[in-house]
Amino acid sequence: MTSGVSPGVRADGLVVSYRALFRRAAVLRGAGMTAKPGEITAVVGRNGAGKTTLFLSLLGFLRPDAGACVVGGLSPGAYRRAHGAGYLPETASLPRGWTGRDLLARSVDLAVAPEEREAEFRRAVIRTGLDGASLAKRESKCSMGTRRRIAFGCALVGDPKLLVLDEPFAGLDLPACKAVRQEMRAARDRGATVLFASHRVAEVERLADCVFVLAGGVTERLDALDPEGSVGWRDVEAELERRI
Amino acid sequence: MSRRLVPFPTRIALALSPHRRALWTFFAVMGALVGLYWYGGRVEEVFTVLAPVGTVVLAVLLADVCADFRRGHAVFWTQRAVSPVTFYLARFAETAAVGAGLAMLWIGALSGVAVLAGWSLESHPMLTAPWAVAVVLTIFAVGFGLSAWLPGGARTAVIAFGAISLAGALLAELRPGLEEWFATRVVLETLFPLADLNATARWVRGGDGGSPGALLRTVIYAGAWTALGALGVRRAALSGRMAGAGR
Repeated sequence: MTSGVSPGVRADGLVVSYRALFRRAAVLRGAGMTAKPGEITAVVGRNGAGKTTLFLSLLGFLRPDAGACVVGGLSPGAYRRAHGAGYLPETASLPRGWTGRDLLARSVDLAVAPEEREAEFRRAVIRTGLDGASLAKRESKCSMGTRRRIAFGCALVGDPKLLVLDEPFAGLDLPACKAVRQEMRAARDRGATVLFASHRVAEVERLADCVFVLAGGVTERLDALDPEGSVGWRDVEAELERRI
Repeated sequence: MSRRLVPFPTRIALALSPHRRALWTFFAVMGALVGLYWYGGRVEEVFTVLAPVGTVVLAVLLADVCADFRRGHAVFWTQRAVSPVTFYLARFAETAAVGAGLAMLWIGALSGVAVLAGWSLESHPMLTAPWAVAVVLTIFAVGFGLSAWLPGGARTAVIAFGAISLAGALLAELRPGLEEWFATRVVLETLFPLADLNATARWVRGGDGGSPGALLRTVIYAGAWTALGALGVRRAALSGRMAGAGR
């Protein structure tokens, strides 16, 4: 299983830009956030606001132009290489020609000690909520929901202490959404730091202990929008609509 | 239980899986060409043309080692506690071994045809397993180097590299007065080291014209491309390309 203490995540003044042909387009312009172990932190924002870019920076897959990220006292890349992380990408396409079973097995091989692999693989299969026939299909035959459930199962392999989920409910049916919620809460309860991005306000409202709004390349903690700190959960949707 | 859930033979099958259609097409087309040459009574050309061309095409088909950066599949592996460079070097070694094995199978099949035709292979170093293996491993090194830096269409990049090399050779041929440094330092030293590969094959077989120096130059050439590939993987790990967010 993944070792290490649950990491706190902190980002300050992140500036990230993408290079187009003759110009650079800044996506993050000083974004910052914190996420604590044992909490679920949501990031919300419009399409293209930079949520995925923020997550990739926090995981060390993207080096920011300026600013700093710290995960468990280490740089994000160093933390990931030392302890691993669970990451569900927004577009969960699977490697061509692979089955869900192949991908879960390979993930278990990479994440878990040899003596625990068989048991962890069985857990991973259960966590996807898919039957044997679905897991034996090649990726080209899988529906979008099936692919996402397999990718979600891969992210949970080894019970990572840092779990980053980009649109975890996209393309899922109601039972699968419920299962994802249960797994996110279970991860929080075992002390993991859980971050997710979603456009579904109801899910944000249900799950998040802390919400950051990303707009214009900067983040703002939702409860900081009101100086009195009186923004209740019922007002989340209205507040988000106003902010983003 | 200490065994891997995905053992080496399964990893080989999975490595070949995205290329299944291309491999079937390759063997079908090559089989048809062998039949046509045989039927036309031009058996020797099966070996002088199809053996080297087939070996090179086979390697190019499989050499895009880091192609999974393109669709963000790399995050399935690199979210784990592994070094991306180590992971992709291991994948390079595995897929190159598979490519070399397939090339030996190809050369073996052609050698079988040669035996049936009663034709001697002695004078053709390009028709032996050492030549095929050396060519495949070198092409894989080039493929690794290119695919680590060019996520969009690594196979196209390998083919383009071959075309640019050919254009460079033609340019040097047509313009003998071209700047000497360009012809010798740039073109010849970055072109595919075919002469050295042939000499290496001869040396391994103990024939005339081979030398250990040729082997050394080939190893340096392949090593340089492999090092370039490792640098490309390291760069991709920090640029977002591995997660499908290239910049």
